[in-house]
Amino acid sequence: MSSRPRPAEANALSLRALFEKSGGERYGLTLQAFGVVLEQVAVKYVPQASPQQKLEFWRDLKLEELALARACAAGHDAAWQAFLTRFREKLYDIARGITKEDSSARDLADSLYADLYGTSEKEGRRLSRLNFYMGRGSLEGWLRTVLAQEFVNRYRKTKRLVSLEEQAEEGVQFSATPSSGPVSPLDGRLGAALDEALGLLNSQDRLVLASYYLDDRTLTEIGRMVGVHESTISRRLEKLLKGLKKQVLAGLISRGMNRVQAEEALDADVRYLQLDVTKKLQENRPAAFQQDKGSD
Amino acid sequence: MPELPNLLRQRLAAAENGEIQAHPDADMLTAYMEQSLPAAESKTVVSHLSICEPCREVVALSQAVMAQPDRQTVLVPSPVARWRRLLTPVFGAATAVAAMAVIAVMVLQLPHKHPQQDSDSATNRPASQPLQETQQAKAAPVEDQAAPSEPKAVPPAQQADARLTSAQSNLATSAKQTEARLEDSGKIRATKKIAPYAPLATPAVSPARTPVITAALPKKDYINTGFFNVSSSDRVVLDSNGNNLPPAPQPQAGATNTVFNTANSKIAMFADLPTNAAGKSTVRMLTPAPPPEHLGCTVCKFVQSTAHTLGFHSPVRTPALRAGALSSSALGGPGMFSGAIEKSQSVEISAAPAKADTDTLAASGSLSAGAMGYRSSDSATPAWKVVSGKLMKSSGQSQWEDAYPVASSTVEFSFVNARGNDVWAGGSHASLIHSRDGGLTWDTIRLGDNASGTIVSIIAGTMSIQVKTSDNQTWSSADGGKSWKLRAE
Repeated sequence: MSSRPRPAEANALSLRALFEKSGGERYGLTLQAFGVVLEQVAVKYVPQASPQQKLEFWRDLKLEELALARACAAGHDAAWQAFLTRFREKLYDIARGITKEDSSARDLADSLYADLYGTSEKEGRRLSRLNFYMGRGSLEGWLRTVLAQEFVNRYRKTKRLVSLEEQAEEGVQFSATPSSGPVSPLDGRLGAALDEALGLLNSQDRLVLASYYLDDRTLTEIGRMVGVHESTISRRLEKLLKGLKKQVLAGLISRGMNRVQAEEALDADVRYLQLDVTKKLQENRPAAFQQDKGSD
Repeated sequence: MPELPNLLRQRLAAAENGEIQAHPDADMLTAYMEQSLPAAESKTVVSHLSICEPCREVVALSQAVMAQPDRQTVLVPSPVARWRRLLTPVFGAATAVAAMAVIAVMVLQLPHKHPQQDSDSATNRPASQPLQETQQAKAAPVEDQAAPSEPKAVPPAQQADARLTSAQSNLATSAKQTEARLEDSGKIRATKKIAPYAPLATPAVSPARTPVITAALPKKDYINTGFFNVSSSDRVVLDSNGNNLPPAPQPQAGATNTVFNTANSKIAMFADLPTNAAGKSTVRMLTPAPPPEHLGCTVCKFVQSTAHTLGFHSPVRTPALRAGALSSSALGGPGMFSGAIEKSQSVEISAAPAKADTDTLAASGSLSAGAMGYRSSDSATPAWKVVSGKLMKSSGQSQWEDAYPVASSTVEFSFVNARGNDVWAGGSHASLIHSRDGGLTWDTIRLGDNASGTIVSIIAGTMSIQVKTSDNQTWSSADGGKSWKLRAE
């Protein structure tokens, strides 16, 4: 008479199956170390999940790449050989695709490679950035995202360091001082109405609007980001603008304006709007992507 | 609503500068881009992206790289068979041109190499006719164009020495008269003199050629000036140099009857015509029927014209007289007879020479090869002329040959009318022959029982032909020469 395995035993069997699936043994990873990694991932993303839910969650991970990354972080040579064989050239290619220039691409890729290898130590252990890979997406995609984050961080840091000559070229010294003149009585109602209309949009519509109007992205880029075709983005933008106008007019009318006044307010020059945009844009958020580094 | 996008930018930027939650890590963003996130997590990421410009930047950069083709992927073209490499537009065009050229060459040569035609031609040509005579006949027109001061040795005309002597004396006299006339009119500069006629026996060749003064001399209408008057010297016609005109092939067969005895205007050997023109006789073909047109004759014409355009000239020229060549002819127009032609008109194309004026012609130097027949400015178009009662044809490069080398023919041709390959020639005793293939084969046409005189004019259209004789008879045919009617003058 065969007895049903207990949950702990079942989890152990499943964990072994996952370990075998990951092929971590050939990278020098042990089952216990792999279990620790899986538990770490589950704690981060599904902290309150049941063991069964965790098991389902683990099955959706990129187990083979997760094992490779963590074996590299642990310093196994076999893992590093496999990693370099598979990703070293790709790393340079991705960096070249991001920076569009060879020297900066190599610099970017080399700096990331150093982070991946772990140049700093903590308690006698090398701190490898591969420890932050959780296997939610592919390892190549993760490397791509990390490279892009590093590039954006570099750009934002260097953007603040503008020479005086560049400021002169941009005409900063000739810019008008911020006026503290009278505030248009329309500002409050119009801004509130527009904020209200924007608040009614779903997150994807807001993403489309922000990408188009703030980031000046192309329809193709926005479509790729949202996961729809660019023609859909074009139609959606047109529809969003019409809807926004309607909502803002309704908001202005609800705030005590007649229709003519509401339309005049909507067509008012944007310079009359008193928004403290400049101040907010100057807000410094230096550690935009430092979260991963500090979490370990 | 021109300002709404600006307002929108302002408010969106203001919203982005509010409180921003923690950025999703690289794993989440990667999983979002790879669309492997659960819906709830994906919504969270999108919500964050809508208010976080740096994360949007990261996603956009990463997706742009993702969309790029893998640089390591090398597309190696699959091996292509060699014959497929030839299937290029350039090769196709070259092949088409080459094929056209080959077809053109084949088409241009095939019709002239008909075996039956060759055998028949050989049959019609007198077997004993020496090749030398033909060659001399071809070479003679070249000599005709030489200056009159270049007397050359003439092929032997041993049978007519006595008549030659008298003719030469006449020519010399005429040359002197012409020179005197020209000097009087002041048309000749002092440096250009017409050399006096040198006797045939003089082999000396003048080092400097005297220009031909054909154009300066008024020409005569040789059609209606007693052209066919009987003359004892018609046997020998001298050109402007005082040389003999190209020796016509001497009929060998039946040589006893092949004397060009035009004194009595009698056809001695023209077997296909009755000895008595007034008598009834049947007309039969002197030459075999033209070879049947091979397939695709229309195509051949097109290819022929194409080949001519491309510069592929057939070695065998198709005898054709262009309409333009007739425009200034004695006919007064293409295929038309103009009775009002000015006798002083300088014409390159004229009918057969009047034998009575042979001396004048020879002395004036106008008796060049082209002055006696149809000649085209295009060397590829054969020219026709009548010289000394012989029908001559030029296949180019001024090489003339007897176009009607029938041994039994004693007809003295007086007029030729060529229109492309359609050639009509007439002569004494109302003899009329017709060729549809540029002189390769000939049909003997019988005008009528009462036809008489020498044919002095042939006006040939497509189907209607009009023939005039020296007896003021006008014969016309409306069916291409099958039946003739005598029109009362």
